[in-house]
Amino acid sequence: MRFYIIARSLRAWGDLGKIYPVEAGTFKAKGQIMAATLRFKLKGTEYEAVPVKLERKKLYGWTDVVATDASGEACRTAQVDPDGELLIPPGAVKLGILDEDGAWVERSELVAVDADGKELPIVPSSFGQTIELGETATSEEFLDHVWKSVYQLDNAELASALGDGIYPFTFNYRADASPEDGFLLAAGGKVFLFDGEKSEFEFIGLEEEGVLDEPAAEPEAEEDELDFSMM
Amino acid sequence: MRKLHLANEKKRDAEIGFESRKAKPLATYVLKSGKAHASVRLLKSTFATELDALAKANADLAAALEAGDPEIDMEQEGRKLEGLSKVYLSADGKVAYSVTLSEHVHAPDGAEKEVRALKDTPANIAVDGMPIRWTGKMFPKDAALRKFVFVRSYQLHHVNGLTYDFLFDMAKKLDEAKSMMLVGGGEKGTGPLVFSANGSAYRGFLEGRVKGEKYVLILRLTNLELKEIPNV
Repeated sequence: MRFYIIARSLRAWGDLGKIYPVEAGTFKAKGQIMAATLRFKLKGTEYEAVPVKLERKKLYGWTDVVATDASGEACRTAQVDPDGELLIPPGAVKLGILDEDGAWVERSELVAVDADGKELPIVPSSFGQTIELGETATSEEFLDHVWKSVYQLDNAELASALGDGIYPFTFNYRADASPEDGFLLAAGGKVFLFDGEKSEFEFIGLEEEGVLDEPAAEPEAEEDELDFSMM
Repeated sequence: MRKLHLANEKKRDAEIGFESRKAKPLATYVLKSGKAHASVRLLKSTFATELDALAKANADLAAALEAGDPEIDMEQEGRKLEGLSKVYLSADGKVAYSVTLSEHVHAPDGAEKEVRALKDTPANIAVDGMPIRWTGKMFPKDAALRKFVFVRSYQLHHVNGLTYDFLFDMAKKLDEAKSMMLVGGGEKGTGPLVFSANGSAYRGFLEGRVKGEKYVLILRLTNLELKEIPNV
C-alpha cells in the first residue's frame, strides 16, 4: 500500500500540489501529540502536572443540530458564496494574511509592537520552564479577568500546598509577544489553571451616565387617530 | 451601550446599560516593511477535490496524483471569500431548501441521550415586564470563584440619576456582604440569561464594589462549573 501526504495548506502555497510519499507507520494520527507538562515552584518545592482543558462537553456532553430533508435523510452543511454559484465544503475555508499588494504573508513575518510602535520581545512558552509562584492575588484581582481557557491539573501535593491561595503568574501557552495572566488555585482537591486577560472595570459616579444604544429600527406605528365613529 | 432590564431585591425594576470592559491588547502585529496587511478568508478546496470525489473519479488515485494535480482546482482554490451563507445539502449534493432541524443531545461519553425538535430561544435580558431578578441566593466571592468559571463579565451602568441610586444601592449591599447574588431571567426570574436570540444560556451573578460615592456593579456569567473532569 502506498501512502501520500498532499500539500494542501495555503500557508505552503509554493508547495501546493506537491506529493510527499511516506512510509506506513511513520506518521501519527491527529490527537496523538505527547502531553506537555507544566512545572511550578512554590515555597522551594517543585511540582509537575499535565494540564487538561476543562470544557463543557467533557462535563455535560454536547448537542448537535441535525438537518433532515423532505425525504428524512440527514443533510450535510456547506457554505455558498453571495452569487449562489460556488458551494464550499466544510473545512474548505482557511484564514490567511495578505499585504496591501495582495502578496501572501506568513504569520512569522509579523512583528508585535506596543502602542508606541516599539517592537515587543518574544516571551517563551511556559512549558519547559519552572513557573515561580510567589504572592497571592485577591478574589477581585482574580475575578477581573476574561478567561480564555481553564485547565485541570492532577497533583494532590500541589493542591494541598496551594491551600486557599490564588497564585498569579505570567502564562504563555506558546512563545509569542502577548503573554497572558495565569492563576493557579485549588478546588475540590484538584488544581485549576486559569488563563485569561484583564478586564478594566472602573468605579463610576453620578456624573458618568451611560447612553443606551438606539433600539433597532422598528416598523413605524400607524398614526394613532381617534376613532370618533365609536362614540 | 446595550440595554438590560434589572430588578432589585424589592422587585423595583429599571432599564440600565451594560458593556464589556476588556483591556486593549498590549501588542499589535505589523509588517517590518511597513506595508498594511489584512486577514482574508480563502478557498482551500472544493467538493470536486475532496478525497471522496477524487477516489470516485479516479480508479487508481495514487497514480492520478503522481501523474497530475487532480486535487487542485486551479480556477477556484485560493479565491478570496466574503459574505458566505450556510446551506444544507441533501445526500445527492444538491441544496435542500426545506429542512427539519433537530437537536441530538450527547452525554460526555458520546452516547446519544435524546433527539428533540430545535426550538427558538429568544433573548431575555431586556424584556418589558420580565426583568432579571435577584433570586436571594448569595455566594461568598471566594466560594463562587471556586465553584464556577465566569466566562464573561459586563459592567452595569446607570443611565440617569434614578438608576444611579438603584445600582449604587445594589453594589453597596453586595460589597458589604462580600458576596455575589445569583440573578435569573424568564417569567419566574430564576432561569438562565440569554443575551441574543438562540444564543448561549448563562447563569448570572451580580458582584458589587463601592468606593465613596462611586460604584462598580458587574454581571458575571457562567456556563461551566469548576469541577473535576470525569475519566481523565
